[in-house]
Amino acid sequence: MSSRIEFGYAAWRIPGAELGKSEDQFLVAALGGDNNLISQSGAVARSWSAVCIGTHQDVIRQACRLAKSCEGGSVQMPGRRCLTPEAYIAKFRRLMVDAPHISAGYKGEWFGKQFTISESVERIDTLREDHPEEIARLYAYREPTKTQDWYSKADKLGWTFSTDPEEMKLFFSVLPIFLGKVFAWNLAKVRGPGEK
Amino acid sequence: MRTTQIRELWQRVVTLPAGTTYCDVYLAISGREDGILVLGIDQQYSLFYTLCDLAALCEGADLVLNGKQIKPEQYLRAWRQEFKAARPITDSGNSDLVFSATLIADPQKLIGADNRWRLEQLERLRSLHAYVEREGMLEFTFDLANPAHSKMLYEYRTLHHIEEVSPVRVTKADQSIALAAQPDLWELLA
Repeated sequence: MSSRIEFGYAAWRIPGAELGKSEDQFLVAALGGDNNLISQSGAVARSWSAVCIGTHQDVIRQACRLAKSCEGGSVQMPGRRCLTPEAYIAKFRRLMVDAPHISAGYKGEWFGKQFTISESVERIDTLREDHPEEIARLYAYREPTKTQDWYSKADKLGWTFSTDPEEMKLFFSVLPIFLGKVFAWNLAKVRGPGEK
Repeated sequence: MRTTQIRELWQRVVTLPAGTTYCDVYLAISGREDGILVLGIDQQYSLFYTLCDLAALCEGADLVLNGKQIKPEQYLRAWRQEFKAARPITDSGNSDLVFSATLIADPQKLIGADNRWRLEQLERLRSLHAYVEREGMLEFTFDLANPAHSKMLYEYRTLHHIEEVSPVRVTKADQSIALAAQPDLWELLA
């Protein structure tokens, strides 16, 4: 059985004031890969992916969902070290405390490359009924790109957002309606050092 | 924020009677203001899947333990302590709880020329002498303190017949009202 090995983590805090929100938003990324997928260099192939996104509460709730895989050993640390779900959640809490603030003039490392919303036409129609303002904002931003889900063959609508402050502001304003339904790695693309 | 807050008052983990299964199987029981909920019957790692989902609700106080707001980590730690202290259902420390489950089976579905295995299961169920026939259906009542019943129930739950087995009902001897709620967990988490 394969397991995911997580080699490192990084987190950033985006001040709520800059996004026009009352709460700060976080992006947490992990450098990980499957233990049985070996790169040409002989090391476990690994890449950065967003694992949690949203407010402090959103991140901890998403961390709880991810933490369940620790109990059975499906998520491990290097050296096949196992973590309990409790320790895994606490790790995310610490990451957020130390997360650097991403704001105008930030000169540090920032792995965020792109934010994405991609949902089936059916789901967007359902969301439009409950959250008409957010969906209208997306359409006002730009016409969605249309793709087809490779598995379900369902038509999908997608919007991509750059890390430009105005586009991030729009993305985080509509994010809450997608959280809980979509995993963070489908909402944000990250790229950082150490990938193999 | 959820409209209703889950108020957990106590937690208990018990194991099925010794010799019932080849591995340790636990029942995680959540005592709440509105009833007693069996969160699952399974191995520890599998039960933690459900517990982690519930722990997520602690962040934001949608689930409180003993009236206090706690972190998800603390909630899981509390459960882990219960797993460490788990005793068999038959242990005197668990005598305040009564565990039962029912299985309503359609014999027509159970018996089939191409399904000898299920026929054997039916015969084994009948041998427990804990059933009644009602409107063409067989209704078995399991007392989980009985190792034979526990074994049969666990086999049914794990061998893909879960849809025919009722949730495990827990009643507390010292409570006048029979508390046996088992709402849909996924509905609770939505």
